[in-house]
Amino acid sequence: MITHQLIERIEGEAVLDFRCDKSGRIEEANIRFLHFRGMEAILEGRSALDALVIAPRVCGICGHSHLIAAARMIENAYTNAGFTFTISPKANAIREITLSCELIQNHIKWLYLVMLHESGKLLGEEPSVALKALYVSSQVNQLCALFSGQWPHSSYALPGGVTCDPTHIEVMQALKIISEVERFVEDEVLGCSAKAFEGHISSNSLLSLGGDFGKLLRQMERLELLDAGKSHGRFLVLGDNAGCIANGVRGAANSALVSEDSSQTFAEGGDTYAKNALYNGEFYETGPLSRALVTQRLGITSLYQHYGDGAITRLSARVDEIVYLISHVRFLLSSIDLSQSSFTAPSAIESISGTGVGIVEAPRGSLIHKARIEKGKIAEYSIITPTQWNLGNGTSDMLGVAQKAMIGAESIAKASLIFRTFDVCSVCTTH
Amino acid sequence: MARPTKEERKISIMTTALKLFSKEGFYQTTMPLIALNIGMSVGNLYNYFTSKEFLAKELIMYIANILGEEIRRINESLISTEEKIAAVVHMYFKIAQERPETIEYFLRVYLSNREVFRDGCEGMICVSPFVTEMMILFEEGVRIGDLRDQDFFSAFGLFMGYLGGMVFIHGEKILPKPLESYEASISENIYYALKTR
Amino acid sequence: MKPLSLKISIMPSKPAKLKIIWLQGITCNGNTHSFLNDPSLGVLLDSVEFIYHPLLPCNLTLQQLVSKVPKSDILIFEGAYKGDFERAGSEMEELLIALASKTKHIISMGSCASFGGIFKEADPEHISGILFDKENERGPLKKMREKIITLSGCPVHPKWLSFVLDMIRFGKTIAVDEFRRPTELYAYLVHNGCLRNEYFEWKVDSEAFGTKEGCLFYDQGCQGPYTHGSCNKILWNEISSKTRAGTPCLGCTEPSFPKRELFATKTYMSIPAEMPLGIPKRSYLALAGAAKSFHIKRLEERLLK
Repeated sequence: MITHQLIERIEGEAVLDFRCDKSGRIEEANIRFLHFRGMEAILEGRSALDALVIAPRVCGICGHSHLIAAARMIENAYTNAGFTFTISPKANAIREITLSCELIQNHIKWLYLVMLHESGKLLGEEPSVALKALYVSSQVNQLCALFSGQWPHSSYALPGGVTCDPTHIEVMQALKIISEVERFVEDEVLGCSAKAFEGHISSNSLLSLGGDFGKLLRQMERLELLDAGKSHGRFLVLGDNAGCIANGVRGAANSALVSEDSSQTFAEGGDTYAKNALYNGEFYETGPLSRALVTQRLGITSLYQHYGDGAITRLSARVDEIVYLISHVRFLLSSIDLSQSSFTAPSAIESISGTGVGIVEAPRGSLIHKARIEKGKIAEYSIITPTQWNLGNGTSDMLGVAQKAMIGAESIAKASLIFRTFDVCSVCTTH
Repeated sequence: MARPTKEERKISIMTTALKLFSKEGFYQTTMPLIALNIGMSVGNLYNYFTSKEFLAKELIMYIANILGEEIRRINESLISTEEKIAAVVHMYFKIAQERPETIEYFLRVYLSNREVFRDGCEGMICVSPFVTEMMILFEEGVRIGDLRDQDFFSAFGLFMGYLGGMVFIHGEKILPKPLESYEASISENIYYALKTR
Repeated sequence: MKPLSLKISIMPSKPAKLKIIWLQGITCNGNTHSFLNDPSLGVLLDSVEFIYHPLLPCNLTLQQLVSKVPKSDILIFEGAYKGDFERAGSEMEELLIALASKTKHIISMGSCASFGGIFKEADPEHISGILFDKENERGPLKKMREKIITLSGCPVHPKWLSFVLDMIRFGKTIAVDEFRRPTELYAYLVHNGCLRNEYFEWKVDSEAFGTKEGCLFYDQGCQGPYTHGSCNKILWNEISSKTRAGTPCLGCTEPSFPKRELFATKTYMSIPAEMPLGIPKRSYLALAGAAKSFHIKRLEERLLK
């Protein structure tokens, strides 16, 4: 018998179709997304620059990543068309700061609104609104807005740089906010300093963490899920610091090996709108865990050696990324040279014909924007989102990443929670 | 006969000054000469215009207003852009013939003695009523698809340079035929140069 | 001095929390996340209660919402409307109408819900706002227009929403414009309060993106002078706005959003095709021509040397 489970609170909904054995253990899990908006078609026929306004509206929680991906795509099209232009280190640093902010606020919301909420509910807790997490997220978004003007839905990155021209006033305010965020993460999330957190990871004592993350891990332990959720152990990073890991071997990543598989979609007789994203013909996991492993971040790498890609590693990778990004943003803010130019105007967009690819490491993993441009107008647009990698819907002989992670779970409720460890985004998956 | 009002008196001074400036040039035309031609004392003239420079600026604004009013009437009439262009050409040549001092002043005094107009007539301030109407003529022509979109000054320069040049040649008595006989071909040339392709 | 007890006794008893349902049509969740940016969220949640919200903890699951179709004080609808768009198997044609007829107030949250917005572009014939389809009043909730408040914007500023919720809570009448947007929020133009206003006054164009100086209206496509919204009065994320970050206003609160060629000013022979709101072209050109004639050194130099 197939049970259809509606999953909410994931920027829309997904339907999981489970087949269980007599004990309720998951034997088969299919992932379906039933909403489709046609973002790519909306973009086609418009000026390529309009993508900087339309693309962020793919997603309310990671729209900034879509903006940067679209900007990089156009920049790549310029380069491919034989135009050279430079982006100042300042503009690059500002983009990295705002993008990092989006990741931080996403991870905090995921931790509190999704993981703590859902695992608590499974244990019979009455969920309350995580106001402190929402407040600190709003602070992170304020840091972003110091440069991007607003979050969500900024269009401040253009081919050639950024539109803002910040002063030390913005930089000093941003430094203050990042310290405030760091204090929240240490006091509330970790219950210890970032340094001590590193120690907990390497000494394998995460369960004794005092903060809300420690609470989450202990809830997962009570649910006997810390070890669950293992998947293929194949990891991919296509954006900055690209690389991939398969069969325990780390190597370079080549975006030419990316393909989309629409065999499960309605268009081809299937029952979802989501297309699968494949690398070298196989499902790979993207996101914080992949980024930590590909860049060999110490703590998460050793955790992976201990536990493989089980829930504890996947959850810790996302929290560890918050810690890493806070120090990275502080470094970028402290080293920014405001005397450099924010924007170097490229030739008119009408002079561009050709294709461009822009790849960004978004909150949930590698995000790809690809387009064919004719005289500055978008002829074709194609977006591959991180969740298309992680939430792919495969077949029994070739399971998607989250699918494989759910199989073997003791119940539908537990499988659904494992599903959420991947940080699901419905609107991105189908766009 | 009723005593003229101060405003009427001012207009009559300007009319006389306009003729003198355009005939004698800015520097040759002195305040005493203007006073003499009107038949008023130099002292009294200064009651109306505190300096020759001030008078010169008032004159260019006076002319820009006259031209602006004429083009505005054309802009507001329900005719095609091609007809509007012809109407502007006709109006311009008509003024050039009936009141040649108006156009002459613009060409020989305003454009040739920019230093006089530096202070208070920066840029196009003193000719703004006229330039504004030319902008509207062009903008509406492009908006309805009659004219080609381009930089305003490319079109403005073509239009006014052409008309000014013709009036200048006419003033130099070089033109073999009367000025108005060129109206149709000039209007057509301007329209063809500016129209959508 | 009056005794403290008297003071307390004349205070109204704590009113019941307003019951809100937040329903989504075709959306990106941008308004949901913008709403979560409200730093006074905690205070707001003391006075309202979400029967259903797509992200916050709430009484009902989506499936329960769809099967119970409960009464509410306020229905917030985010996203564009399409009759056969489903949530938990229920089509908007039925679900939205049913929830709308069982509520006292409806808030059209964002430009998709208000006019169709970006998502309308995918299927212009079938996708619209709940009351307006672009600027035409022919949406599915036409008959309930009087209880609809339009909050256009992509996204809506969290304070715009909390303002409307507070006005409803205090029983105040909300004055609205032709699109039923609260005039106190939308009578302003995005241009009002823009830090670049002096450059607009003296017609100093911004020569390129990425500078503090110059007005973005002449070349960069800024729609601030004819877009309704208090973006430069109630700042975004408490701190900034598009124009303050050098980004042109994209006109996201208007029924015409999204226009095309958003980073270039449409001109006819160098003259902006769209005039600042309510300004006759002739007046604008006369003033602009005059202002342009002056070269003001301070405005032509970098602000910080």
